[in-house]
Amino acid sequence: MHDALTAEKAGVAATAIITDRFVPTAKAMATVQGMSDYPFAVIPHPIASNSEQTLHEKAVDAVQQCVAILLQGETQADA
Amino acid sequence: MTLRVLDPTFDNDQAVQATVSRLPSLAGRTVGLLDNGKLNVDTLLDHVETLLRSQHGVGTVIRLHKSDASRPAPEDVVRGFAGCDAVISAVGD
Amino acid sequence: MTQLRSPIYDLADIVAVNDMYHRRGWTDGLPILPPTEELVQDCLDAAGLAPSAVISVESVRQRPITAEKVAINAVMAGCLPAYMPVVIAVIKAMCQPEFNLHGSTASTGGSAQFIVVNGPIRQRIGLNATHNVLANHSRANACIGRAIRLILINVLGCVPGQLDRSTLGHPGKFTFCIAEDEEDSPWTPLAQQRSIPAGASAVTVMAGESPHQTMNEWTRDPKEIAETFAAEIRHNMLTYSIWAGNYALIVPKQLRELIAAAGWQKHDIQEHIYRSARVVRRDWATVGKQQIVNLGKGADQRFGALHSPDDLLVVAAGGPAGGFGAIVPPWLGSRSQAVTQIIETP
Repeated sequence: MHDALTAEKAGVAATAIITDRFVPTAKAMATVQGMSDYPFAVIPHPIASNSEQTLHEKAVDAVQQCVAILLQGETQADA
Repeated sequence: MTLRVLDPTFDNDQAVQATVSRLPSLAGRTVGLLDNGKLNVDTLLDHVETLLRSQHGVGTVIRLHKSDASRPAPEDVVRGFAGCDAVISAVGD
Repeated sequence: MTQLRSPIYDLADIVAVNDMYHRRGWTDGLPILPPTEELVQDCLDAAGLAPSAVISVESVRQRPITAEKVAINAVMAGCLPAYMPVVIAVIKAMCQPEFNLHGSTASTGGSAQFIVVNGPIRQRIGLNATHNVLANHSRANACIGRAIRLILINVLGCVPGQLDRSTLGHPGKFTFCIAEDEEDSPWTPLAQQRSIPAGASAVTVMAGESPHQTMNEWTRDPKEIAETFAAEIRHNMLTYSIWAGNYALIVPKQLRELIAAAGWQKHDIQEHIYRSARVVRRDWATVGKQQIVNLGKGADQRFGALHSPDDLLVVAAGGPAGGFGAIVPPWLGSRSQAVTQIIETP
């Protein structure tokens, strides 16, 4: 999350993919960085033990959210 | 007699609200994908890369890596952001 | 008094203060002392600092930690003004880049700041180095460690579930501060081993997991005594984390006497454990981690607990009777490194 905020501060459109169990942490980091409403993509936890097929499905989900955020700044994570 | 006590927290109002950059389209653009070195995040981003190219017409994908997920990206990776139109950072776990 | 900048609340009594501070998430769950202007000013005066003085800046949040916020949280934790120089030194140590404050406090691994105090300030403020040293007894040990926790919560947002992602944490996160028993030890104090001049006071801070207690009362051989500690470190490498980093070793009087009688200094213990605390990757199969034995460089890959003998922090502390000892393992190898910081008294 911090790295996306760093890119954003450098003027580059950015977002982050977060697993759902880390959402409060991502929001807290955005808040201390002065971007409390910063949008990011959320996928189900975990990643480390997933099969190839599950990773593909999570990637489809993540890309859909990331593209929406990068183009309009909207988040599906808040929905 | 009342007690006059002080607030122990950092005053968040001191933080400046930054503005965010957005793009009209990803077609032909350069997108940086940052992986944090944790298990399977690279594979997740392989799929993300394929989807960005095939479905959203992304021109170039730059893969960025950091080996220590517990620290901010090192300077050379941050410099790499400058060559991108957009950056996606994948946290994993 | 007029220089204090924090918002002020007028509350009926100590119960009302605790109700509000607990409700707002500003405590560790235990009752706090109300941080009144007068008590906070006393702490600032003892440290010789203006309220706006910046002690350190936490690099990931880019957030300054001011003397005023340190003093407020120290009062809440129960600190006497005389403890302030120690609290300030710990903050400075934790904000050194090699400590990796954000990583070690945010991680699911759940470490605490293990603090070892050396030098004359120990006796001036009544820090305990003997009976029950890793637990309850002295106000100074309890409140200095607690002040650091409250500062992490209130100034840096290390709130469980938010920027503190510990899966379990450990009891040391309430407070985890000891003194070295320099007067009753034949060895060089930890701070002097780490380049602090004799006669100065200093803190050494490491991101530590919970202590593991050991016992060996059946030998006079220093090698065997050291081997019990080494075995516990090897065990931690397999069941918790294999990566090399700072381990702390707490050696009580009964074991110190036997080790010293054989002519061993701290560096002899460090050398022995450096050579002995090693495992091979295949050992993981014995602790339910068969799945990762063949990754990396394969089953024969060797790992040491220490990059060098100096990575081992040997501390003389504990009550006079009993062949007990403890290791304090690192949070995650050398991703956070122990920092020693001199204590400045005004």
